[in-house]
Amino acid sequence: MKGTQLGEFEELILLLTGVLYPDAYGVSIARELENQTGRKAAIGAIHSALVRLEEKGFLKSELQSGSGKRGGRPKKIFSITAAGKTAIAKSKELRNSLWDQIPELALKGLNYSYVIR
Amino acid sequence: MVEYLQGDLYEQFQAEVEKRGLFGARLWYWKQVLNMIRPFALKGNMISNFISFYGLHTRFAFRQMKKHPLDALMNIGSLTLGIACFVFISLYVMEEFKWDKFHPNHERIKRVVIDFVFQEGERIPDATTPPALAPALIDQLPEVEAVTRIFPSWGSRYLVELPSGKRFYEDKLIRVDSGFFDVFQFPIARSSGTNRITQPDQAMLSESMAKKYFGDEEPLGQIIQVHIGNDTLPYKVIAILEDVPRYSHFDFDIVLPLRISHMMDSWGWYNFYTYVSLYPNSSDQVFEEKLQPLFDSAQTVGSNVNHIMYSQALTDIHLRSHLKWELGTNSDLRTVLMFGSLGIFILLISLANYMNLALSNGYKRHREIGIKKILGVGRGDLFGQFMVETLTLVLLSFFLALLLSEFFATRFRDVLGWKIGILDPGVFPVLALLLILVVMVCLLGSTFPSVQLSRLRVLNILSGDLGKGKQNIKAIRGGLVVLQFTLSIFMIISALVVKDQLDLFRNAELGFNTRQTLVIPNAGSIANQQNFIQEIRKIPGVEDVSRSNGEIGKLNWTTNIGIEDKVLINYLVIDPEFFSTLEIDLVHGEYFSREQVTQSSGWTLVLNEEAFKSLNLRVEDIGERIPITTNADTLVHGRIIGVVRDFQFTDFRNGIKPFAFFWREGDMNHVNIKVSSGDISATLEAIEKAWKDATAGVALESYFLDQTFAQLHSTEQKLSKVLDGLTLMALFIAFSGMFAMAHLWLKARLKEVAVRKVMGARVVALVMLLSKPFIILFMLANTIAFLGAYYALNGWLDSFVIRVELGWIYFAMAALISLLVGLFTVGVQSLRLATQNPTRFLGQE
Repeated sequence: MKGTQLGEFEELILLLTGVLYPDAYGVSIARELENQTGRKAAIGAIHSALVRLEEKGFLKSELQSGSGKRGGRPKKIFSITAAGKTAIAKSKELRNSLWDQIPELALKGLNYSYVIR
Repeated sequence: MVEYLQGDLYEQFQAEVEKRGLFGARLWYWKQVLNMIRPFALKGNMISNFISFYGLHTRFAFRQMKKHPLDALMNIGSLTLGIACFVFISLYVMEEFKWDKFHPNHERIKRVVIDFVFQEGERIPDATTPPALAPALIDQLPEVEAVTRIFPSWGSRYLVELPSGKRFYEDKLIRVDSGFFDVFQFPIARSSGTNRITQPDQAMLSESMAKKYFGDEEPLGQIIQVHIGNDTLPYKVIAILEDVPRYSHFDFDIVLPLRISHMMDSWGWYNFYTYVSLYPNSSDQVFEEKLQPLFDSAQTVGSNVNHIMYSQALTDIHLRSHLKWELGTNSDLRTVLMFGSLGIFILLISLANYMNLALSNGYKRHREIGIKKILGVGRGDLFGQFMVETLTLVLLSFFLALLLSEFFATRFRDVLGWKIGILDPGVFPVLALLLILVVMVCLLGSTFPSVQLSRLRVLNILSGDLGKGKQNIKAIRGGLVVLQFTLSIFMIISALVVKDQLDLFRNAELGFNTRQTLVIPNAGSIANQQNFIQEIRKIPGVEDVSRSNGEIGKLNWTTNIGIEDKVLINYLVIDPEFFSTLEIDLVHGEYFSREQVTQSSGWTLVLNEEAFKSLNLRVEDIGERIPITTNADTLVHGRIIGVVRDFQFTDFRNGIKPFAFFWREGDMNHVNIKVSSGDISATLEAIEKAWKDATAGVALESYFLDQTFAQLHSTEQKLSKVLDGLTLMALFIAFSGMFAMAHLWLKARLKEVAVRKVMGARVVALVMLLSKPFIILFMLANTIAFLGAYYALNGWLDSFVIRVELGWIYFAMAALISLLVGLFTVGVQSLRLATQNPTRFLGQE
């Protein structure tokens, strides 16, 4: 199904939106992203992803009146939709299944010292 | 969307302030904002509307152009030409203001100069100063950081001999103090350690000179021999300078150190140029005030010297300094300003043109606007449509104009000697400003009708009842036409006057023969000059040969002559054949002759009439020994044996000046040859052969004297050429505007003409009727232009001694030209209209 693929960054944002529920918006997501992954992203980049995810139907949003901290400007709060939940669940399933299929040897092979001995 | 994004940014901004401080946070903010420019930000509703809306408008704009190709062509053409001319002239003006600014410390460099003041109150501003001035300046004035003296070649050519044995004559050679490179910062390409000349045997060459001398060999460390005076001295090349930038008011290829002698303490030997650089925080004012006292205190007690010493800023020299003995040819601020105003005129004419067309076009489209209004298009949208149409057109012409002006600039680069192009960094702000101006004016012109029209009721618009607005517009358009034609007529008059003034120069009686006189400027080095002269005399095409130590029309030496009232006189040392070679007529007394003995003490001289007058001599004095000057308290007598007719030896801004000739036996550095007008090329070949024989193969350098005089007024010559072009351009633009306007104007009166015709009006009467409003505008434009031109041109002509009279003929000519052009445009169209079958127009509706 075209348009419903999740990019890596999109998936992260989608997950973080879930984590932060019910207070997921641009700044909080950016902060959590930095805390959890150490990645810095421009607000514009975050919003770009958020808008895309909303268009795909994985997120919904509502405007909340702002506080003094924001100079009185509104906040756009995002939350995951049912379709969004399905999408991350699917993605997790896919990863799990792929993970399980990796042969034991391939992982062992990654252990350098083991092979030498 | 903008709201909550701003909110996010604001919130994060507070956090960033703590982390990075205010400045860092601001930087971060900017980065974030710029980062917002992503597809998602443009997808919003309003913006997509905006894009499609304006996309549509541009399509309308192109359709409009297609529908009225002639209008569009005229619009774009005249606007393009106008802007191109303006940009072209701006380039030139900016170029003229760039001079001498390449020295990083240019603001602190001054030249110290002197006005010679004589008893009779005559004041001669002079760029030269005595050698003792520079040491005094740096010793006595704490403001002075560095000082240098420059001794140029003074028109003589130095023989330079290379290690390879090759020999060259060079005149772009200056001799300077070691402070030269402290005051000036001419860029140095390569050097062997030191960037200054400190030893008496060091030299610097320009890159092109090094190339000419040594080709691909290493020039540093080479020894060159230079003949100076009677000596031949070795100089070691220690550095290679980049070629002197074009934007320097003096030019040189070889730099040598000054030779220090007892003469260097002289306060009376005016042969040096003195430049200083001041300390960064010192006051120019204080420095200036100390100059005169310093000069006065250096004069010997009791001497009656009233000269005035002052300084000029380095950057003012190119445009504002017109002293005697300038180091190079300077420009004239007046010329630059004149061109600048011409550029503004042309821009104005083309903008007026555009506005005019736009105003009438706007009203012509009243039906379109009416229909649009019925369909529910709002005023803002109508406004927007006109705006986009204008922008499309203006940007198109602006782009074309830039291409065109760059093309002009490259085409004329060699003729005018400019270097600047539109890609120069300094040009950009001017272009940006110009773009803003042009867009504003054009928008004003084209949106005005839409605003006016959209205010009216739809029914009125559709039926063509356009209310008062149209009347106002008529007045504005009349004003614009008057403006255009005033400026064009002004330019026609100027072009005519400048041309006549130049013709006057070209044909002016100089008082001696320049066309047939061939000058060989560096004959001083010929081993046996007498022999050479004999050889030349034998050539059949040669009528006369003489020698002199300079040439009339170039820089001449000057001296003071006269007891009590001293007169500064230009002089030449010549031999007796000089007068017959140049055909200078005798008025009183006699010429020099070979039979006369030249006195070693006291002088024998021939004066021109002006000098004769200035010295208050009577005809009875001729042939007598009269006191001429004092030399160390002894009276020096001179014998004036003749007076020759006045001749013009400077440019025409100056009048005829006093001149004296002396005769001394001996070699001189100029040989003047009068060539008969027969087979000149054969004669020249023979002269060249004689030269080669006499000098063992050195290339001959020679020119006819009229070239020297052509150079004297080359500035005006160039000015005239450019002025002609610009006038044609202006006339063309004004003409096209007139044409288009007449076209529209007459169209509006179709029915009136038809009715008149039906009622029995004759064609001639109709043409008269239709042309009348234009003729009134013409008269008005002519009157204004006449007044302006009279004042401006009189001012310009006043700077010449020989000048044309500003007669009525110029004004009549300009009026005639403009009237013919106008009548042609209006007349042809009205004639066509008047001869049409009236039923064609009455049938409309």
